[in-house]
Amino acid sequence: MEFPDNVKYTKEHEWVREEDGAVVIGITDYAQDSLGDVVYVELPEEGSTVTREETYGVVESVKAVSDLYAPVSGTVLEVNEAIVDSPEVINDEPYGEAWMLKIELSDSSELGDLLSVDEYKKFVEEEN
Amino acid sequence: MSASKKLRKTSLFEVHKASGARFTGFAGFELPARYTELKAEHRAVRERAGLFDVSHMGVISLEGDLALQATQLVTTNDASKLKDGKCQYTLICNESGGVIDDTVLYRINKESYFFCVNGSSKDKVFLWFREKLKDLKNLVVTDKSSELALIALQGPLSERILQKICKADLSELKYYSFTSTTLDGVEVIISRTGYTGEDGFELYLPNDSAKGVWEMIMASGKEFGILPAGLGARDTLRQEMGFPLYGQELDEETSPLEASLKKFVSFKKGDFFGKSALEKELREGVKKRLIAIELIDSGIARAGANILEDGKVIGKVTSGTFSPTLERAIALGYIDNDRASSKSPDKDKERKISVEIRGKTRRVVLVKRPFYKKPKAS
Repeated sequence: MEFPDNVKYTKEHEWVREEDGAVVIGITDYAQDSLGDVVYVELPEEGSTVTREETYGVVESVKAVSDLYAPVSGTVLEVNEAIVDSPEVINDEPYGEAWMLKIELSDSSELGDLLSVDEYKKFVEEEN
Repeated sequence: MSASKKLRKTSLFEVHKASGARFTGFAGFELPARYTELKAEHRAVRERAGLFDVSHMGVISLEGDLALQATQLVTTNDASKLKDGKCQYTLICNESGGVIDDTVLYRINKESYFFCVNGSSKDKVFLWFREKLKDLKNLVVTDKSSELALIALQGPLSERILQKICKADLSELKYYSFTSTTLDGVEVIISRTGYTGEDGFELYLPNDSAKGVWEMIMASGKEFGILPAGLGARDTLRQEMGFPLYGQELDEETSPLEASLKKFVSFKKGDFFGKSALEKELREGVKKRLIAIELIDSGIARAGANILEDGKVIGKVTSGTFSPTLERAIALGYIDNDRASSKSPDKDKERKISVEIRGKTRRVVLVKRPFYKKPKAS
């Protein structure tokens, strides 16, 4: 299981990486592993807004459907259309190629509420 | 994610755990959902072989001189056609013609039959038999489920894998036949049956031998690329074939005729539970019909999704998944009988049918079952 330390995490198994004054978000290795083979992703449109702890999309594996929860609030700057076409990338590269959205934060203080890699690791261990 | 404490474990639980299985609750048992990736397990069964623990399935026997008569009473298919060592797919119906279970019947001899029943149905089937057959003299109804483990070896290379460790000549064992034999000294019943659309075998054996036999088959299959396979792959495999699953496509509110299982109902044999209701339904027509759909738009239609035509709800999805072989979303469901498929597939294609997924309509097309047809070997 991969837990990179250049991202922050949430208890909904999302990750957040700061990039060029905005943030990029995705789901964690643990999340993709729990889901199994991802076959479908539904993402919001560019320019739409997302709200922390609210769903912004859906990811489906062969077996189950799962909501995507926004780790932060803001405006969607970019949508990773490539994973809509090739959702299996989420299983292979959850922290890299398979980013979901690039977001302009509406409240940068929300970043302070995210989990560090150690906190997230501990949370995952406790969940199992 | 955590499994309920009430779930029972099969005799292979520790073997699965050691193989890194992820478990899921099903029919009161904690069973492997998958070991690695569902798609890989699914593909192994289509191309090579997969091994399933299906010990949640039940085994109920009927024994005595009236065993055939008893079997005929509680099933829809004609059990008198069955010879020793043969199996038959059949249904157990209630008086209203609703399905109590769909099952495979095994005839050991004319005084000894057993049913392989669904895990979720075995208790009610046992009680149904006991109650409805109580006046038949010397008839012994036994639930053998807790004594037996059930392992399914499925896939085109199954015969080669099992033959390596089995004395009986498996090439002689025809589809829907079974034999009693030994595997390394363990008494087993092997039937050429399954739920995947592939060639394969199901093995009935004592619980305490399950681990040894499981490991023996895995070792024998190693050179053929066998994989242990979980319930996830079992479900996608059966859905690709359009096979009904009890609790999804079949229940006590659904008749065999509605589920397109008429060929497993013998109206010519004597009386059986549900017969008059089914005869009436045959005369007057069914209310709903099982259909198979493929999604044109993206998304997966899961059980419970509405099926619409011209903006009107005409039915519901009962099972749906992403087909790993076809690489598109498929689903089974029921629609009102007056909206059922026409005889012409071309006309069906022109119909504007959709499913509702999370409030959005997605276009679908009615197709024939099975979704997946095995390519002919060249």
